[in-house]
Amino acid sequence: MAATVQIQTVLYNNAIGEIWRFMQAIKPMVDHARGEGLLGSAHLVVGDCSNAPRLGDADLGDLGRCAEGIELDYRFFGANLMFGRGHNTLAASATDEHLLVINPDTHAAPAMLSHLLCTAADPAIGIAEARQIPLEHPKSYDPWAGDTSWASGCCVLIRERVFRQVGGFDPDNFPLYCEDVDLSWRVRLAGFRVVYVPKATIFHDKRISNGGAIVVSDTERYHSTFGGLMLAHRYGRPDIHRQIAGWIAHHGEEPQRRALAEFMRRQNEGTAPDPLPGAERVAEFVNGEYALHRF
Amino acid sequence: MKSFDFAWRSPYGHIIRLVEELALSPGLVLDIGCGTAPLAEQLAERGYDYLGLEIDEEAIVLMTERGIDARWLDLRKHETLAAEIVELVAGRPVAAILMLDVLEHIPAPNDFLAALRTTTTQLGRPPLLMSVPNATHIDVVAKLAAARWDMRPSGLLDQTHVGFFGEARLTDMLAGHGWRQIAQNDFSLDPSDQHFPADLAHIEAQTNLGAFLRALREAADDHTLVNQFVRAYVLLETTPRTPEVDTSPAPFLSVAMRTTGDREIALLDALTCLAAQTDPDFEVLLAVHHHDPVRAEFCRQLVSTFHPSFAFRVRILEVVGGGRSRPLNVALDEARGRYLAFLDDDDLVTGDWVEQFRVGAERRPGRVVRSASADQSHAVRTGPLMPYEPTGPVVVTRPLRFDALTHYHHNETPICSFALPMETLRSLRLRFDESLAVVEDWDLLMRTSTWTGVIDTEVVTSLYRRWDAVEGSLAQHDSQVWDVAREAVLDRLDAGPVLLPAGTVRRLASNAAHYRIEDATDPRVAELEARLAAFENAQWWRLTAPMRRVGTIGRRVARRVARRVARRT
Repeated sequence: MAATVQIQTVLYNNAIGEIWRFMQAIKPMVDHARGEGLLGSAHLVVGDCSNAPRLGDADLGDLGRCAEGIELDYRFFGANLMFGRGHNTLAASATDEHLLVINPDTHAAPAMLSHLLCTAADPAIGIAEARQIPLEHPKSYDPWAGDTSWASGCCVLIRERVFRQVGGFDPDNFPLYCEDVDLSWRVRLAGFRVVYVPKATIFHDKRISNGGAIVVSDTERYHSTFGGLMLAHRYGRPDIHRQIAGWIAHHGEEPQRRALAEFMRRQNEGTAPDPLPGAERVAEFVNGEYALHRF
Repeated sequence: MKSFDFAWRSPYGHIIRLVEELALSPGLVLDIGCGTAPLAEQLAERGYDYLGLEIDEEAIVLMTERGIDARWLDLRKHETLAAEIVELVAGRPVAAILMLDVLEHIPAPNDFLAALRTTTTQLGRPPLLMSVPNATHIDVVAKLAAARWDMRPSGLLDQTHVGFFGEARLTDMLAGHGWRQIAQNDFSLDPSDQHFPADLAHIEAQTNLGAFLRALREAADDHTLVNQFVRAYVLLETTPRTPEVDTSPAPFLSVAMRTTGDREIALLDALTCLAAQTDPDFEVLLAVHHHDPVRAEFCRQLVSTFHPSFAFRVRILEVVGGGRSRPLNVALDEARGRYLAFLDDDDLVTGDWVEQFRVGAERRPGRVVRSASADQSHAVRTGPLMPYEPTGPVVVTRPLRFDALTHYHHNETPICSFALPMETLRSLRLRFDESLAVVEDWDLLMRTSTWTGVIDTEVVTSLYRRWDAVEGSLAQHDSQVWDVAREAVLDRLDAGPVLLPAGTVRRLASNAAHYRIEDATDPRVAELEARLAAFENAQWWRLTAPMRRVGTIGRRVARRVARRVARRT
């Protein structure tokens, strides 16, 4: 029987061209999955965390025509809920079998959703992750079954009842980064598999620095550091936490120092979460990453 | 009145050869603007009747005295031209119409040709044989670079000429009035009557400047030394129709993508990268290089799954035969964009790939635009999920800025990281060299950039996949193939002077000592040079002119050996 999917994305001051690029991939992706008999109804829910609505009536009319045959629901939040809370808010009203959590700075290949749905047909799978191009994430995966430590929130298909069962993203403790690692590990703790689907291709608009690295903003630096500290704390690795804190104290840049200060504040105020029981079964800390990397 | 005598080594001789070649039917040869009828006797000897039409009354008297049927006619009276000529022909069958060195004297050639079309139709559409001076002869072109335009009493720049023709203008104009060319026997002259003043570097082929200008001129068309175009045409029955042209605005960029259609996932990745570009002002020419049309159909189906706003911009070109450059040349011929870039089906690009090319093209119009590129090693993977995967991090190993001198030694610009200006490719007839098994991109990049220069965006926008295992050109061809191709590229570049960008002299100067030492002190190089000189001076060698081609090969081989010796030391 064909699955149903709520496709959900969260905007934050994205350029209209970027939103158009995102939207132009939605209908081909849905059409392909329907053509393969894998998909029934599909809803597109766009949550807007921007300072002012990014989409007016005219834009919505145009975008609706662009995604003809797909129900479009646009919600202006009036506040920056950020990634996790934004997606939780959109998922709260979902009635579909799966949530496709997807970034707006992407462009999915037409067959992407079909590959994810094929894989997710196995009820043991909680999260199926797409492969990002041009810069593929280096975390390792089982070459035969696809199992991996965690799935990037850039584009994942999550079984809705699993999402609900584990409580969705945790925006209080992971406002912007590592929330996907945290969600993946809680899904695995709940007994579901997290798998990588490399044939599910999605373009993610990352740029390459002149040194070959991905270009990272100060905001990303802050949140990734904060998320790293929080993961080590929550998943029972005080040794890793001390390592990160020590490194920041000696070598950290300003955003990283701010992240450490924020974590310390929460810890001192008692608002940091308790470590999760059994976390060691799923948490992987390898050379400063959250999975063994292929390179 | 000018009088020109018949000679075989002249446009007149070339016209007679054309008459013989075409085996015209018997009848009257109508010579419009015949001057003093230098061909009348030659044509009579071949059994043709002759009627000369001329405006110069003195010439008519002279022709009449020679027993030639010559009549007065003013070619500027377009309205009455057909009626007057038809009346003079008086119903005789016309074997051909001659018009030797006439068109360049007519102030309104299009009006005249329209009238001539009517005339020719009424005369039963006999062939039209013409000669027209070539105003794009190398001597004229080179002297323009010296700000010289030397009108003379006769010759290429006869002071009575009011129209000037190159091959393209002549062909276009005649085609526009319905004449299709059926034969040519152009008359070449080197040097021409415009080859003056003596020792002007621009026109002397053995000077650096002269050789350079000649190379530039030769790149434009095949008529560098043609003094007069000698052509034969037939008038088509139907009124010429303007060919249907695509009037939609040309895109900024044409992307030539070659694929065999076999690497399905890689092709999908590359297409997805293109569909996600921030600047959509481009077309994709997907050249499917495979003998099996099933592969092209697969590609067509794949493209059709994308959003129409992208899919409509992709054209599938089916390419059969030829080497790895063939699909690129097919795409080049089809390109409508202002610039042409290349993306192989196993490479990836960032979202601003097109956008950065545009930034470069707007900053320095006409130059080759080069962005930086990164590498990532890939390998075939076991398991059912994916046929290959990256095996190493993304690294930027090549400089952000193009360096011409370094590039003459080796390529630092992968094919996915530059865009070429189409106008320059067309006007200089630059194409991929299909005889090269590899490095065809380096060859075209260098042959183009020497004329245009390069603008660097200094932004990394492409990811070149290096294949660790069996796939990829590096693995497919052994080092010998690369060596041979590299030598061929260098030989071609070395065949004439090259342009180097401003700022190169100081760098050359700083390395001059190194070059001199390498050439002069290596005894093996000196020995090879001496043996080559002895080889060329041998008496038997000088007596065997037909075998000189072998000498060229011998020289190349000796140079290659010498260079290899020098490189290895």
